Amino acid sequence: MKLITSFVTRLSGWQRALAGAGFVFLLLAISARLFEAPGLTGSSTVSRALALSVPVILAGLGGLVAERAGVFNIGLEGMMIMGTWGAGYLGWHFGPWGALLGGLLGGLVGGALLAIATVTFAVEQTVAGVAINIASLGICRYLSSVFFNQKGPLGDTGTIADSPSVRQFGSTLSFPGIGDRLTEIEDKKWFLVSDLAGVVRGLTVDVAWSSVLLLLLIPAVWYLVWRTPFGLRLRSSGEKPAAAESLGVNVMATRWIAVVMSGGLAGLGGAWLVLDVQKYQQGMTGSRGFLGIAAMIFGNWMPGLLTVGALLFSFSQSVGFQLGFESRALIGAVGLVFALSAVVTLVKRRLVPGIVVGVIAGAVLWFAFKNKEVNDSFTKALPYLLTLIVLGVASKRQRPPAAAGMPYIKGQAG
Amino acid sequence: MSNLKKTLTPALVALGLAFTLASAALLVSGFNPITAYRAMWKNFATGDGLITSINIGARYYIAAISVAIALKMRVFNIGTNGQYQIAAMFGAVTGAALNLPAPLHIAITLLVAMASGALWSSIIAILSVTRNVNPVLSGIMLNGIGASLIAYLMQSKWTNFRDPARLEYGSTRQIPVSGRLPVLSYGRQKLPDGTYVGDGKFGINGVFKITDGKRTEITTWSLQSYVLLAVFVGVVFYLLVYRTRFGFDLRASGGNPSAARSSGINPRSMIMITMALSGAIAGLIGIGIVLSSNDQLAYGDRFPGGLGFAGIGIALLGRNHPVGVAAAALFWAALDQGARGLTTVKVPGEIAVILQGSLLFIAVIVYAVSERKALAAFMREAAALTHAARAQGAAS
Repeated sequence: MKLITSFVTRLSGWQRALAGAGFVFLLLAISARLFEAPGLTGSSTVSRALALSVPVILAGLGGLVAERAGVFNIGLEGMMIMGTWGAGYLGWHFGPWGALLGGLLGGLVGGALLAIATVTFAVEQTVAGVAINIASLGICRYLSSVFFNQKGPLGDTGTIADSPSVRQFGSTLSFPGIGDRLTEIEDKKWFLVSDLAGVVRGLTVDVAWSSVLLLLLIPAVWYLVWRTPFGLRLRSSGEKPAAAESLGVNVMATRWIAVVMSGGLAGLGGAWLVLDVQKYQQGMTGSRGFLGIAAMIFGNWMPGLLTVGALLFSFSQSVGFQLGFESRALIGAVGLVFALSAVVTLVKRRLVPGIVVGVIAGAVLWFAFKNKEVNDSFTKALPYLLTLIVLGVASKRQRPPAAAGMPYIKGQAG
Repeated sequence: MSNLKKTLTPALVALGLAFTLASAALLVSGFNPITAYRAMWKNFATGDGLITSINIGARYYIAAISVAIALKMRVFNIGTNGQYQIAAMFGAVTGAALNLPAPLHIAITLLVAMASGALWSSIIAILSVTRNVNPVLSGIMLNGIGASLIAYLMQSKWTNFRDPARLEYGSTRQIPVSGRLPVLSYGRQKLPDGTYVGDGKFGINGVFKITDGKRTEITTWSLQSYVLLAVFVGVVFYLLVYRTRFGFDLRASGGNPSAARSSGINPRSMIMITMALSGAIAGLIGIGIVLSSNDQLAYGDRFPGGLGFAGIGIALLGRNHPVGVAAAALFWAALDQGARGLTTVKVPGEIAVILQGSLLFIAVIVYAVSERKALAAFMREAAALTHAARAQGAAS
């Protein structure tokens, strides 16, 4: 046991993310076998999961940039809503690139609003963020009623709640020459090998260009925050702003830029949603901004683990779209995690918590074995439930940036 | 007097700025703001506009008080939005299943609704206290889970959750007469055909009668007794927060957590109690819709969905004070009501949501600035006093 913990603590963030992904893969492969649901690791589930993770990852990255600079951005949902509106508007005028630009601009406006409130006027950050979430709904509803209630260039008419259609990028990206080979292996149903083929195929074949472009922002954000002078100033503004200011960092300006960027990232997530559905729909963000924050907390404010967290949530959403026994297999996988943690707790000789977790594990596994078809409402709740469980497991050990959430007033350093 | 001025000025400044912004939005999109505001005022001030605003405002008020009590210790109960819907559903199911004398019937229904709201909000508190989960996030997740739970129960095999007579849209069974909250008063007016309107069977919107091609409005004056419940909740909130030991602890925990802790206040139990209270109050938000004789009398697909979020806005706008929140709730409802009159002048009714949103956003900024100014003034005063005292000490 100690061996494993010391091994894990020696890994870097990226290695830990990879190890986590490997563990999750193994678990899903076992569960797919155990509950007769090969689709759990099938390419269609994985490819939809990858797609659905994009807006969550972008919101999470937005949260990361802002919070690393010391501003807790609970307004990401609102900024994503503004992004979807901008993407809908510029999207039906100028196509997919217009949609990306529109999403970015919408998000930047949202970010600027939060920056004015929290950085310039030092409003309590949660208050300002929640206010932006509520205000953005109103702003977008008004704008839709004025601008979308008309005929679009593709011939269809928008309404107060929907924009006219937006064009998606014409083609998708596939790694050449491996798709058919992988399909063959996937169909063989070999344990682990076919599962791996399904996962790889899901990740490499028919990926939308909007997803590819936006996923490149993960390394970009990592590079910006951890490998550039600006990134150093950004992180110091989030850890000890007074010290940073005494060393000549302009904390206010750094936070302003970070929060505006944060909004832009969330807005791009909104643009992805618009390109995916090919129009703007009122309420299309569906709490993804908040899921992004949850992924960020799960990822301990690091981009690698954040991505794993976002994939986890979007995977559970994607499983809900499958028609076979995949939902119960996913619930079974959750049960296996509980069982494993029960064993670990018992090995550590913590009897009572171990037994409690063990009983939960038993109940969840029993549920998964008993029900072949899971009720639709339950499937819909699964991503939220999973997020809640993951937050419950992960929140205690995490270390947020030291000054995140605290307003900074210029000259505090004295 | 100067105290009142100090609290009112920021609110009025925010109001002025918000109206300026909304007017600009209207002008840019080619509408005349004056015409729009006049139409809004007309729809609010004539007919049953005022009564409707008060009835709707009462819901908003209770929603905002539910949020405000948690905000007193700086916890955001964003889960209010899920809590009140779950509570309204369980309240409606209980109310429809019972057959008891009126006061007892209503009391049990209210208690069940409050208890279910409190249970649902306690999950947030437990996760926050034991696992350090951010309440805003767990609140959002529980809203999603709650919506699924409601959908599941209303499609389940338990007929209590589904009225066989109203299968075309999902609805619980209707509340029997003994379980209904009375309507406070109603205008009765005799129609030319000899019948009366205004006996509570009619909706809260005005009733129209067409005679000789002319449409005349017959006002039904029907204030819900739920409004009294809202007033009661406000009074209890005031007494609890400003006049009891618990309220002092609550405000101390919100104002200065570390000082509160060292004075012996247990922050964990404070969160548990406060969130349970907040959820219990949230349980009352939808009860007026479910139990009032001139409303839906059941929980179903037509139940309004966003009252919790509106409550957050209103609580922030009213600065978590029972009187400020009351003004904000009435104003919010009046904007809703006014917006319904905008169709007559062909202005999008969404201008009301712009007004609400921008007012909220501007208000939180203006409040923060004025609070900082007040704090700075207080510090200067204190510094001057210390200085004077020191000078006196040196002289003697």
